[in-house]
Amino acid sequence: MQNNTATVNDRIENVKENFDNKISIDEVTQVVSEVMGSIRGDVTVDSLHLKDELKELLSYIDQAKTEIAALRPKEYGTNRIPEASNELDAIVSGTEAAAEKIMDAADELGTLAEKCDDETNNRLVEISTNLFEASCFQDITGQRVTKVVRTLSHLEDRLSALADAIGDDDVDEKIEDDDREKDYDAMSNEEFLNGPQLEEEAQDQAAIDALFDDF
Amino acid sequence: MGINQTKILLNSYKEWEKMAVDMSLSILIVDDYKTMLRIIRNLLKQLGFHNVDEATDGAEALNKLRGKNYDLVISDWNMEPMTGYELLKEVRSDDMLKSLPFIMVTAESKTDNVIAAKKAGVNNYIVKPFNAATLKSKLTSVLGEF
Repeated sequence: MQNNTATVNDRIENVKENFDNKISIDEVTQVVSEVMGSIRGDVTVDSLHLKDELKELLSYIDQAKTEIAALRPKEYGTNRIPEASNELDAIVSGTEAAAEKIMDAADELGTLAEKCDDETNNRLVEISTNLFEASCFQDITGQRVTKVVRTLSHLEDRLSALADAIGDDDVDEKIEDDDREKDYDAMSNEEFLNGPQLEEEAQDQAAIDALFDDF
Repeated sequence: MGINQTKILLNSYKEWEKMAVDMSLSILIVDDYKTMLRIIRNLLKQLGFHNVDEATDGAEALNKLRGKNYDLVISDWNMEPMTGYELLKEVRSDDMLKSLPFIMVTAESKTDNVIAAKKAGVNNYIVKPFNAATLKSKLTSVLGEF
């Protein structure tokens, strides 16, 4: 028993040295497998018990690794979460632009009010004030979304670290669109329903017109 | 003195008290959202205050406060690199600025925030979203009737 324990420690130290003091799940699995493989010949009841426990541990690690890999942390950390953050940033920009337009209209109302009689002036100023007050939504929305983006950024870091630990490098490749070769009849609803595009990726009306005229 | 005369005198006093606030006083508004700067500036304009400057974070505000005389600061809390709370503490620890009226206008509405700001010497606290009536009432409590 003593010899086996020493072997485990030696092996762990050896792995730590080789991997700059960071041991991934793969390395742990390797150590446990090697220890199990080294238990041969006459074994005591205690050794058998240890072997069972190690076997169970190995199975648990394998299962955990499979489950974590199924979550595809690398894909989420590399593509999905940054995409979600970009969508949220676009919400902030969109609401800011909308609020600016509302306030421009409110300013214009205020200017028009000066040319009206007192009663109309007062009413228009009141409406203009209401529009300015309502524009507060942009500030509140912006702050809430920024909080979510920060959380996503933290999650992105953790998922990348987890992906590195389990050796996951499964990332969906960005497939360039080649519209001419697609079978549109075979495409599912989900493939068409992408929602609004981010400004930097979106095609403007002129590009759509040009594309439309091409077919 | 008759009741009517008393009423007239009282109204005159109220009018005089209203005039006590100098509507040309200089106000610095601080917020990192340009939408909010525009909203506050416009509401102040509608209340009669036209002498308004802007800063987009605490550090910029502090520079402006040290370079020009202001009569009031209206500041957001949540800004980077210097928050409104840090700005408030800087103002209160500066011999030249420590008596400057300071109103916090923020979405941070937790009890801890309000108590901390109060302890740091804020004169009033407005929670976003707010309306013109709330702004006017808080300005009145800090500056007096106008």
